[in-house]
Amino acid sequence: MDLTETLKKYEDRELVQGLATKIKEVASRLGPVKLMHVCGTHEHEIMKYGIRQLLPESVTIIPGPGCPVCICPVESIDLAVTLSYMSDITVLTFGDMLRVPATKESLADARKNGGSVKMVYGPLEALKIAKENPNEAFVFFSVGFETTTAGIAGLIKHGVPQNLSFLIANRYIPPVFKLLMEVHDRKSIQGFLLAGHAATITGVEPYKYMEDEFKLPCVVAGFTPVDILSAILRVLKSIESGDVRVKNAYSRVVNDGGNKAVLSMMNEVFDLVPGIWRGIDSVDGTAYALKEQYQFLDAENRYECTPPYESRPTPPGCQCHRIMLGEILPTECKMFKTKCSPEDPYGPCMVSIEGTCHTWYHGGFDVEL
Amino acid sequence: MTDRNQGELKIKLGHGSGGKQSQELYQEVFLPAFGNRFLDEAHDGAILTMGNSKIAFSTDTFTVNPLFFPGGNIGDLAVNGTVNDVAMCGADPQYLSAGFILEEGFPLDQLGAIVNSMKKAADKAGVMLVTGDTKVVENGSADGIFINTSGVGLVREGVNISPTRATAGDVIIINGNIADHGTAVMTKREGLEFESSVVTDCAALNRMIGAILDTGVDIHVLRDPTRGGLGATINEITVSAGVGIELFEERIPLDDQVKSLSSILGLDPLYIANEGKVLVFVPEQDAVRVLEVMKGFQEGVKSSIIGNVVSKHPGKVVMETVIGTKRIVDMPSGEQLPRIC
Repeated sequence: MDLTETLKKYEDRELVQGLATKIKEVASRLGPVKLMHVCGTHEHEIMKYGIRQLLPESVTIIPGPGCPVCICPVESIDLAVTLSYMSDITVLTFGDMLRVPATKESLADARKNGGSVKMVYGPLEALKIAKENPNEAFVFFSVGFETTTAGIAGLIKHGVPQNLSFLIANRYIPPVFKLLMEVHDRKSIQGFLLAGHAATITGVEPYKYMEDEFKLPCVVAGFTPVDILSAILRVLKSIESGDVRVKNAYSRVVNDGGNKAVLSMMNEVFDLVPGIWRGIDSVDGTAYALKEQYQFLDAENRYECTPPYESRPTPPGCQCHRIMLGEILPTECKMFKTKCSPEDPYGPCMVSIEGTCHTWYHGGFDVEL
Repeated sequence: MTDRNQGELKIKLGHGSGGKQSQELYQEVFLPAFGNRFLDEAHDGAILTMGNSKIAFSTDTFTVNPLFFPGGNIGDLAVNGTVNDVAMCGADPQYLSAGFILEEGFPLDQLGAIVNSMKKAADKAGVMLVTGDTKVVENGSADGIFINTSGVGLVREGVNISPTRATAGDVIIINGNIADHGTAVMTKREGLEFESSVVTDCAALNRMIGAILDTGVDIHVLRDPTRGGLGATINEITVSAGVGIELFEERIPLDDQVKSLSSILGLDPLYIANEGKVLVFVPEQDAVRVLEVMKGFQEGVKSSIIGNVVSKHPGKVVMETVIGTKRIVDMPSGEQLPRIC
């Protein structure tokens, strides 16, 4: 079946209504349930399809730290900004990264003020630019979770020209629940929806620790209305039966074992080391770092460069870190829609289409009217 | 256009995206300087009375990357874009001007191909290019070629078309698939390069619009949803007219490949550009008649009634989604970018 047919089938009104009815049925036997997802695309699709309108009042879905642009540490952006001002270096990065507020200025500000920054759609474009301009130096500022990181690993494994280096701020999702469970407990969150995109790479294995350590049900979820609702139903059923095994409600795309070939390639290129999630904390084993033999591609090693100021992850009054932790919703932030908008983002969650505040700004029916 | 990070305000790319920032630039810079009763209309072109004639006059500047994309190039865009803008005023476009800004080093054969496309497009639309200008700038001062076109045409007797005329009870018709143009261009962007057979919808709509006007139906609004897509244009109309709009996602024509590609990239087809689409606002009782006329044209085969104007929620566009829930279709901010995950 091709993708479009699949999409249409998974948007089918009767199927959707049927699932909504089942969800209501199971929820009626449970108390209030709060679930968290950890994927910007989930929030985007939940809002786009108005999924929350189909849920009973007792079931709440809250967004977590699922946007790679939002959680990218400010230290990395400050470094990219500083690199952009160094003579002969051009920083290449995704369009969204240009507008993320940093300590002194964003990369877009740096570009207006004389820094050399160019937007690319992906690492392959960065490779092409570097090859076409052999007398210039380029730094690819890389962000993303497992899916995007796989592409970077492939590129590096394949070989890159000597005028291209990397500033890697990629993050690995599975251990982040440890951080979330420092601020939440089984009373404030009863289950998680896992990100389908990322799970295509890792499979469900890296999430198994949740079964023993926190005893909370986790279900891998896809992105169509039927996928999302099916996953919610599976979590509710797990809560009801007390079965905390990690489940896969997106098995048409996600293999439980993940993508072995891609995983082994990523393991050849990257180590997993402690990494900062912007404004929150450092989490062990969540930052992708180039392995010893690829260190020569690390821009931080190649260019001696430190920002001439101390990094400040959270501008005064910004609540992005608490929104990413699921402690509050965007509408509870005083900056939301007042000082902070997609045109002029004050905090990182307002920038990308994956950012919770950006998604809520353009809002669904649930937020306004 | 506040920007707390900067003492000095500077132009951002978003100011050219057709969304909120473009509106701000227009409201805060251009309108205070040039504001007059014609600009206040916020139409695709100005409607001027000269002697005994009513003339529609419109201008547009074209920059696109890549210059050549599936189904067309910047030349087709430059002609059809202005032809359509004049037609949206309820006029029959007749004469066009063309101004070229060329970058030193731009290949002549590419210029030849672009000019050829312009000639073909003009012939097809039945307009003449009657005056023009060329400037060459140093290597690095432009991106290959920029084209400006302006056009004029006589406004039909008795028509009164304006975004302010959108009225509760009006039905909204679109002449086919949305988001083809933006998607076709996107598939050829460096770094994305998807294999697909999606081509631009770039087309002159003046003949179809002429036929709609020939029916004598009181057409309230004609608008081409180009930059910023259907979502941006429909929001502009709600604001201009102070009305609300209801859309039905199921009825909005969308190519299967475009649906898949935009889903992969994380883009919303509602905000992806069109270059051969028109939104027609007509009183409900005339809708079927106009729809039939539109379907008689190649550019209108897939015409569909996609929504209606309502008096509730003024200034807001609410869409019934494919699954039956409701969603606000907001004004887009800035250019949509593919997701990273």
